[in-house]
Amino acid sequence: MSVEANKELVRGYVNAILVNRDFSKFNDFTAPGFYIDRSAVPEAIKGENALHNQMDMLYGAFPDLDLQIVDMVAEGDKVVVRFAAPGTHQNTFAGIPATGKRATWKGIVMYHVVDGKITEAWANWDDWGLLEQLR
Amino acid sequence: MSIEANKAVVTRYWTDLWNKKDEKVIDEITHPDVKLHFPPGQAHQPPSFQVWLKTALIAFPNVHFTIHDLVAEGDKVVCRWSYTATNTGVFLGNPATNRDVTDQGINMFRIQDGKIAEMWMSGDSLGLLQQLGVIK
Repeated sequence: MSVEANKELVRGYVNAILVNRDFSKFNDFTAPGFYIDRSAVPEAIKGENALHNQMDMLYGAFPDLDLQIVDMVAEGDKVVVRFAAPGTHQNTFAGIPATGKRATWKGIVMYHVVDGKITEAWANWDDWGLLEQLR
Repeated sequence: MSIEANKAVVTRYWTDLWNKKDEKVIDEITHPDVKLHFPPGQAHQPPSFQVWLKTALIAFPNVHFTIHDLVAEGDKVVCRWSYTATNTGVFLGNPATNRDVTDQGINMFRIQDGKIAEMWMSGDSLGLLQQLGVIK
């Protein structure tokens, strides 16, 4: 796979899975054993159901969440995405009842692509900053 | 500049600036008006690398970084890193805890004329503050 093809795959994954949450396409983009190493969370997010639950929780609290790709850097079998995700806090998030506040969640995620599928991701999302913006 | 040369600059950032704690490297590898982008939740948002290094030498003088991945394209380099450190001095107004801490993150750099012109930082402030007992 070329670097351009890897970028296209990650762009497709972001749009289909993270933005549109069409999990029927999950296996089109990810390899068996796919997991996300979330540094702030001790347990990795492993597989389709774990990610689906995570996204339901996030969009449940921020229904208008607008997950944007700000920048992409790729080389070899790695693709890095810098994200910005503004949204309105309309339902309980991490125990904090709806505040109606606008907040922007920022993150950088590195994806490892093998034979046209994402095998693993390292995600650094600014969870603490998101919580602080709701105070 | 080739992407290999850009990666070499970013490698020096971790090994020479942070692991050897050599302050004069800052002028060699960063532009004077380098732009630092911190996410809103970053615990410590120093105005310059000089201030940053000074704070680290007080709070975490034995900090040691490991580079896990370098990914470069065009004028950007991304590094996935981790560190280990011991909190033996004042940090963010809190007295030393003498606790060992670790963090991992991903930084994006923009290189211009062989020096760092911009850096986007993303670490795990929540995890760090929990390890220090600042938040439970």
